[in-house]
Amino acid sequence: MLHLPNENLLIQKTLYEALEKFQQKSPVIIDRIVTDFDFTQYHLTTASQPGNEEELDESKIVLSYRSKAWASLLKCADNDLKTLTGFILAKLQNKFTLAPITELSYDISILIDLNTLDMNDIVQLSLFKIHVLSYPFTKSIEEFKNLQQTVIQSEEEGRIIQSDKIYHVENRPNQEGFYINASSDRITVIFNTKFQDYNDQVFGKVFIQEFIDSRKRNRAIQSSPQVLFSNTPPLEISKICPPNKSNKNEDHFITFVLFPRHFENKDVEFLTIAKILQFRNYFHYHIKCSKAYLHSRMRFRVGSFLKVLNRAKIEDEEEANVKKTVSGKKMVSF
Amino acid sequence: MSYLNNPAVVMDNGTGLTKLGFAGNDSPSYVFPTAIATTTGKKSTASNNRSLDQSMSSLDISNNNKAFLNSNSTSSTNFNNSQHSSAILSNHLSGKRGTEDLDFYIGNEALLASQSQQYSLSYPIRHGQVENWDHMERFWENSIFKYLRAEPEDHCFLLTEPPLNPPENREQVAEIFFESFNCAGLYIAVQAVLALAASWSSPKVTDRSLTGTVIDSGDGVTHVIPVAEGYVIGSAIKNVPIAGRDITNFIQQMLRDRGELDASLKTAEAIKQEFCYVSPDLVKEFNKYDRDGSKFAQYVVENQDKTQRKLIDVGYERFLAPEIFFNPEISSSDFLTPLPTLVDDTIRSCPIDVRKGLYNNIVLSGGSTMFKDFGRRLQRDVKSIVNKRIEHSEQVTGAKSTGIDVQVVSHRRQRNAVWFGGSLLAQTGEFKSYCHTKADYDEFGPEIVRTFSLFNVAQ
Ligand SMILES: Nc1ncnc2c1ncn2[C@@H]1O[C@H](COP(=O)(O)OP(=O)(O)O)[C@@H](O)[C@H]1O
Ligand SMILES: [Mg+2]
Repeated sequence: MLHLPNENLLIQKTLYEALEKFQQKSPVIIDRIVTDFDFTQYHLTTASQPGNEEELDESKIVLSYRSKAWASLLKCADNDLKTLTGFILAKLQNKFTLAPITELSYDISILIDLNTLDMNDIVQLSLFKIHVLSYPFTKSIEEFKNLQQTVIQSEEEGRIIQSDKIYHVENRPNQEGFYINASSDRITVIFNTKFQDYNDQVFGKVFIQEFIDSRKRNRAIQSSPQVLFSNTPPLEISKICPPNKSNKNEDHFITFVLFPRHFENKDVEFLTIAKILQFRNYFHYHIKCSKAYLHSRMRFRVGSFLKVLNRAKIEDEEEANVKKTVSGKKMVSF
Repeated sequence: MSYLNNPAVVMDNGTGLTKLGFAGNDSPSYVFPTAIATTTGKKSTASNNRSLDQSMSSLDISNNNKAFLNSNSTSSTNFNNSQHSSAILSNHLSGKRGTEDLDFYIGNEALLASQSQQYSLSYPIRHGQVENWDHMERFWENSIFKYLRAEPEDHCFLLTEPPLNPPENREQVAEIFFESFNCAGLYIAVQAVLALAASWSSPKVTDRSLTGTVIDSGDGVTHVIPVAEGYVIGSAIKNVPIAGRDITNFIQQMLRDRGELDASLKTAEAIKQEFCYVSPDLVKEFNKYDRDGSKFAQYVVENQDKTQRKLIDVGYERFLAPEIFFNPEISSSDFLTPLPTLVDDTIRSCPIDVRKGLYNNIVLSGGSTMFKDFGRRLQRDVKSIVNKRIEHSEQVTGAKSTGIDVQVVSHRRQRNAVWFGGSLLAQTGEFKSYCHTKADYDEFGPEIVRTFSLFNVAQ
């Protein structure tokens, strides 16, 4: 389907099954790897007893997370791990704690207690990736509010201040990622995406154009964020993102402009962030779907050409001379 | 660079069930029917249809909103989703022209969707081979993005193929995976070889060899496949047209004949998985039932809201249904060779120097080998065939034979053995180097997938 849910279905399923078994008093030992887009990996394991590595504690699950984006998120948090983990735990309503030790090769491990886990928690945990990556967005929204306040206090109407902080999150290899910059009247999010395949690049262009155009055409979606596109880094980020001289066509900068209505309350804010974070995956998914559609059209064409060719086959000389009876049966002559 | 070590995706698309998951796990993340429901273009008439996707994405979890639980969360063919049938319906897409190709569901959701007029259900795989590539492509697309949440550009894929799959089919797969999905790497493995690898988890298996006879019985067909040193002996493969579906149908027929209150396919399927077993001796088993009433069981069917219960008696079908593997004449009139005879025939049509290894390591795989004592009965029957032949030749020639050791290997991972074997192979460090990459494909074209180097972690 067109729709990609925000939630990670596999985390939901794993946790739900574990919870169900636990409540039925037949706890299972779990050890599962789950992935998500953009080099994100989770590891769900049954926790071990505190102070005793060997013994398992079946009422607790450790959820470990790692992603490519972690390093740049840390940078956004001024390399203060506490700030970042604190933010994540707060996003999960402080219902979970950090595991005593972070699992090797993972960025963060949290402890889930099956005794207190409920359905809503499972949903929130399945949104873990979004919660983690919403850190720079939240920071920008704060900045936006401060700047807005400054402008109002300075009583200079029409004055726009731009924050000098640009949050850069690199969530994929090859400098793919996004930039966030706040100013006193808007927040700008800029994606840099690249295409492995030449065909994808062509498809991508069509799609982006459609993004820009359909907003103009269709009144119903006028309230969606404005979308801009260019092959060179937009002005907002030109300071920290020098233009790629070698291959100009490789970079695709897609800019979303968010206005206060896009984060007016917590729910809208969450949806905005979730949708924006999923934009790249969505975009590439659609390109792949289109190619699948083209393939099916091509198979259909080939099929119908084959039919035509088969019909055009010259029938056997002898076959053609066989006389038929009225009912269509072959007449046999002796 | 540790971030770039994404686990490989292992997919085993069977005739009946698709097994999906990541290498390194010990069981597939998803097991759901290889079914796709595509739009028929008919508008639904009910106006209160809630979109499935809406209900799936909505955040508040109220009582009836455990929608994610019905999204392919079952681990087998229990159709236990039907209670949520109101949750699925129009995607509200059919109104827009040209998006029909995006309006579809797969797996359990497809079974659900097909209950409405708007969607029609189809199974893109027949007898283990892909029949409808359009549907298969979309099935994969949805499995990867929606269920596994993986960007194919970032993962290597291990797919499985049935024995004797034509190389053209492999090329089609490669075209889809490299051209549509740009996947990072692709390895296509023969199911039987993976099933052998999976049997290493059994304590009975001491040397990790890739020689053995695989009996893979799934939903639509049962294969007997001899494998020597990782290579399938194609000329000796035999098929049995009896598999899971036939057993279910047989049970359903028995329920109908007795006039049980509920003789649906779903009930028959559940009875099969819960109650059936293989008996050592048909006549004795019948007698046991007549003497001892406790052998008869009862299966409870509850309706959607659990307000009504129906009791279904379960009787002789408990052992009679799986018996059709050993005495096919019970249910079919055109296929009459018992499975043990066929296994023996298969092995005897293989080169003489590998036969010993083939008798020695008869490995079970697939859902329909899960009946209790299936392996034990098979071992006994094959052994008796072999022993009789040896006796006969000893009499004729007068020479003493050293005997042949027949061993049937049952193990814990048997049900999804193919997937599990794939997971074992794909989690090793070398796996990547055995895959064909997108760069290879772009340079040489689809023919590259005609050959894969044999992968063996058994050093
Ligand atoms: N515990 C069980 N006992 C008997 N049959 C089973 C059991 N579990 C699954 N099956 C049957 O196994 C079949 C699916 O097996 P599978 O190997 O996944 O098939 P395929 O690979 O052809 O899709 C189904 O027909 C199902 O009814
Ligand atoms: Mg199979």
